[in-house]
Amino acid sequence: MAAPESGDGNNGAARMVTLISSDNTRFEVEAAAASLSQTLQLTILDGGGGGGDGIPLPNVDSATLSKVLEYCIKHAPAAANGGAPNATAVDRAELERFDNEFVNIDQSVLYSLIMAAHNLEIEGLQSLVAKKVADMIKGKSPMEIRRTLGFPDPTPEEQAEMNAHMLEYGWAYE
Amino acid sequence: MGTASQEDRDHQHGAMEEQDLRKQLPEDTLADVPRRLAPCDLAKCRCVSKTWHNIIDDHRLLLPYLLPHKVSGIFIKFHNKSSWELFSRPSTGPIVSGWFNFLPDGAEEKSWPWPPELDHCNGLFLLDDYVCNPATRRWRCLPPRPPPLMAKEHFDDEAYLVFDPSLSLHYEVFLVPRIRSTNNKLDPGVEKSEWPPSLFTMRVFSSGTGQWENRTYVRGGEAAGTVCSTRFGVLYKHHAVYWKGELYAHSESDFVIRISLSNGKFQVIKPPEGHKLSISDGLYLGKSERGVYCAHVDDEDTLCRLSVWILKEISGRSEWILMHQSDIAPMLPYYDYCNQNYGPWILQEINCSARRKRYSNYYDNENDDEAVVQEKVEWDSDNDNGLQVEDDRGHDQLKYIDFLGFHPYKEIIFLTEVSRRGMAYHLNSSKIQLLGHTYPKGRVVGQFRPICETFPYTPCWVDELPQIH
Repeated sequence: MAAPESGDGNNGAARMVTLISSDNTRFEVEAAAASLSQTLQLTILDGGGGGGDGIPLPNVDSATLSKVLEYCIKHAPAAANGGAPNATAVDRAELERFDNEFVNIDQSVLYSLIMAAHNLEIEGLQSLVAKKVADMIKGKSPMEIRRTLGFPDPTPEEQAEMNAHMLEYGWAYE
Repeated sequence: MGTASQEDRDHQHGAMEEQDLRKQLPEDTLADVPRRLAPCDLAKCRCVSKTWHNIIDDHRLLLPYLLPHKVSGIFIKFHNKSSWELFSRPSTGPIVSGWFNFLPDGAEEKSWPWPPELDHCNGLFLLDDYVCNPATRRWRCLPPRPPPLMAKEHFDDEAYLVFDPSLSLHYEVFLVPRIRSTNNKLDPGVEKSEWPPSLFTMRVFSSGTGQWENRTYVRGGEAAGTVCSTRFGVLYKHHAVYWKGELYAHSESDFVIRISLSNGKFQVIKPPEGHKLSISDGLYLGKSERGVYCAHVDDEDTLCRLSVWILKEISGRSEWILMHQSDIAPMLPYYDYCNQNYGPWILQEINCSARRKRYSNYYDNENDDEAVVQEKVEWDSDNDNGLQVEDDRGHDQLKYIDFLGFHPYKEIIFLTEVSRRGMAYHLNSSKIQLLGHTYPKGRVVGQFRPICETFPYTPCWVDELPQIH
């Protein structure tokens, strides 16, 4: 018995949608921001997520969702301009600064973000987190990479396998 | 403090254990990470864990870097040395060794005491009857070669390897008949016949079938001449180039045979117009940035004129177009016998002495003047790019310029002067860069021109070589 979706009738106010995290926290956010997610875009275009309804996101917890939405809200205006060809250098620099700071986070948060960005298909965020992980790996030895990624120390068998693989591409260690 | 960080680590381990990570992070997401890495980081990630190894291999992310893409050195054969040696810039890390010691016992015995017959194509070697990859140290022994198809008084076979790992890991070996330089009992009928013949049959080994077969190619266009008229002294430098599905073989009197592998045709490409034939310094055929090139140095008078042609299709005909000509004599820096520090590259003298140790009964260890058996050489990596020639102190009469090869990816020609100093000549800027000392230790035949064959080596790191069944 939910009230019919008022859609465009909101008198200039941006249309809002509600997203519900896995731990049942409700987030109200502009439809334009939520639409950065390819997954949500169709639902929102069909008029979902408005009024008393919400779009449940069973794979994303509230801490991660709030982080994801922070990204979407920041990037929505530029995205609305169609990749913002007319964005000023200042705007772009500001977004870049935001991005750099945005991924300056704990690894556990980073991995939740990778998952969420993947599930929600937020292209910009996906490439931002992938770049962050790549930066963390750059110039490190295989063992350091394991530690960086939080893998446990290898078993003797794994170690032997690692050593064998390291011999295969000797040029990487020049 | 210690306890806290230990706890942190334990916590991280718990949360981020690899198995969990795999469940948690879909492979596609992870695959987006390696795509952003430089090849050396990628190769290291490949060792990190089974998951990452599989991601990188399944998506073939390293492939572009495994395919030949840089020159790691130049293989040189000297007239009286019993093997080939690698002239290269030493590296402090593990690199491709120019040492053929990965080949099985007896592999190099066939040609002893002469150097093995060696052909190179995109990182793969044909060394007598072995196909091998020095980068991955894999090898396969070919089935015995069938006897030559043409009268052996007049012809013998030249073996060429054809391999393009960006298309397929299969390779083929072509035995292209070539006119023998001299012989007493010649059949006048054969001598007067067209060369190359209008139907040219050759033996070809294909790793796909694992067998030798006969293939006949139909000539398009004219012959080069007759067997008698194209016979041409001793042609040491029998270079061939494989480019876009066609094999270009440098033949007798400086013409090139272009064999199209796909349509069973071949064509004779005549030498550049105005090019004088000479036994000592024929054309040098090679592959570089824009296709198939040939070059010649005329250093018989005070000049030292380098000419470079590129092969172009002009109204259906292949023609050599002169693209560069210059007198390089004034650019050559003063030659100082006492100072042999020409640059960071060195001649890695391994194969000759190793081969002598293996096959020579009267090998004398005491008198071994060439046993510089170094597989890796330390080098100051700051001195990275060779010596740029800045001073222009003129040049004495020494020249004896020989080709070491074309850089396959840049318009650069590798040269030597009196076989002693290796140089890179940049065609675009007309600048010479000294690479290093190319002259071997110990006795060499032909004091000024001891080099008889060379080729730039581009390693291929694809660690597979088709089996021969």
